[in-house]
This record gives sequence, C-alpha cells and structure tokens, in this order.
Amino acid sequence: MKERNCVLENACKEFEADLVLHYYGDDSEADRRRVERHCETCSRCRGFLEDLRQLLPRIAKPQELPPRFWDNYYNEMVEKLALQREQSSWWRNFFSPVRAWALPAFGTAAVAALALFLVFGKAGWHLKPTPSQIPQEILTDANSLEFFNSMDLLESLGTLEKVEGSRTDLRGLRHT
Amino acid sequence: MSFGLCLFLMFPSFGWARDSGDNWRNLSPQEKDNVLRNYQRWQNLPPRDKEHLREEWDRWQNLPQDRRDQLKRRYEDQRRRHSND
Repeated sequence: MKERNCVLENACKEFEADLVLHYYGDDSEADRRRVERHCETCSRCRGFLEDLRQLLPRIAKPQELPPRFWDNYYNEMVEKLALQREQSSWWRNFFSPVRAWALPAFGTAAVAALALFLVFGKAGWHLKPTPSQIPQEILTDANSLEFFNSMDLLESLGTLEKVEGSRTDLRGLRHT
Repeated sequence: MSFGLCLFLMFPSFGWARDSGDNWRNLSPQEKDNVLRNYQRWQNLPPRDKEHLREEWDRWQNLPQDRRDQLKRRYEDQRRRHSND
C-alpha cells in the first residue's frame, strides 16, 4: 500500500467531482468515458483516483450490522410510535364518549352561569335572599313594592290630610 | 353559532331578571321589613279595607310631588312622636 499520510494528489479542478463519482460508479456512461480518456493523459488525476481507491475504503469502512439489530431497531420504533400516539390522544379518548352531548351541555352551563352572574353579580352573593312568602310578581314590580312600603301611610292618609288642612286653615285665620 | 344565538335570545330575560332583583335589593333593610310586614297584613285584610287602600293608593299617586313630600314628612313626624311617647 502506498503511504502518503492521507494527502490526496491534486487533481484537475474541473475533474475532481467527476473523479469521485467515477470512483463510486455513480457517473453516467459519457462522463465515465470522458474521465477515462482524461486519466490516460493526466497523471495527477490518475494519482487522485488511485488515492481515492486506497484512502476511501479506510475512511468510510462500512459496518455490517446483523439482521437482529435491524429487527430490534424496527420493534423499538414501532413501540415508540405507539406510545407517542397513545400519549397525544388521551384527551380525545377522554372526550370521545361524551362528544355528542358535550357541546350543548357546556353551552347551556355557560349560559346559566352567565345568567346567574348577571342577576347576582352586581350586588354579590352575600345578599339576603328574597323572601319566599312574597310572590315573585310583587318583588319584581316596583309599584307593588312601593304600595306595600307605603301602606301605613296610606291608612293614615285621610287623617294626615285633615290635619294638614286644619293647619292651613289656622294659619289663614292667624294672618287675617 | 347556536350558542351565540341562544345567548342573544336570552339576553333580554337576563336584563329583566337583573332589574327585577334590583327592585328588591335597592330597598333598605327597614323598607324590606316594612314590605314583608304589610304584605302579611294585607293577606288578612277584609276586601272592603283592601278596596279602600287601593283607592287611597290611586289618590296618593295622583297627588302633586310637593304635596306627597309634605304629607310624608308629616307622617314621619307623627310616627317619631308616637315612638318617643
């Protein structure tokens, strides 16, 4: 074996790539002929090709792996993919049985929550609840509430007016 | 989309519910007690008295605001005087 301390012979620049392809046998028929013709007359390119033949097998020595390795590799990949698929879709599996009714149910719950918030939100939850002994139609009617709030006054209205009337009369008499 | 439509249709009722709750909530504790007491009293009133109170209520509502304020003040004065006695 020719020892050159792993230094390649300088080939012609325009042939370097073609020579590498020629070494691997990846060039076209026309290129192969062109490279061979060139090498007949160019000692540098011949030397370069020779160096490739000697050095490349040592640099990139293919490692033959036993079939068992590839079987294990395949099985491992299949297991990893299965695990990944399982982890990414756990939430889908969780929701899949309820998917048909989940949307309307959650929608209704959200609307109900919003309604409660709008009704009680302004004054908070600590408020005294409305009395159950009074019908809702009275509690919701400002006029009725005012009526029951003023009922004592209404009962005395006649008397109050009489008193007020007599006071006015007295004041009128004093002035005259 | 259906959720949005549902929300849109229910929105007026939310407003109504909130306003109606406000009527009661806006009353002071004393006014609430007053309403409760008078409502219970109203249940046991004879129809004649109920009719009389309805008439008085109509009359009260038709009084001018300054007259109502005047009578209210007079009523409060009398009530205070009675409670002091």
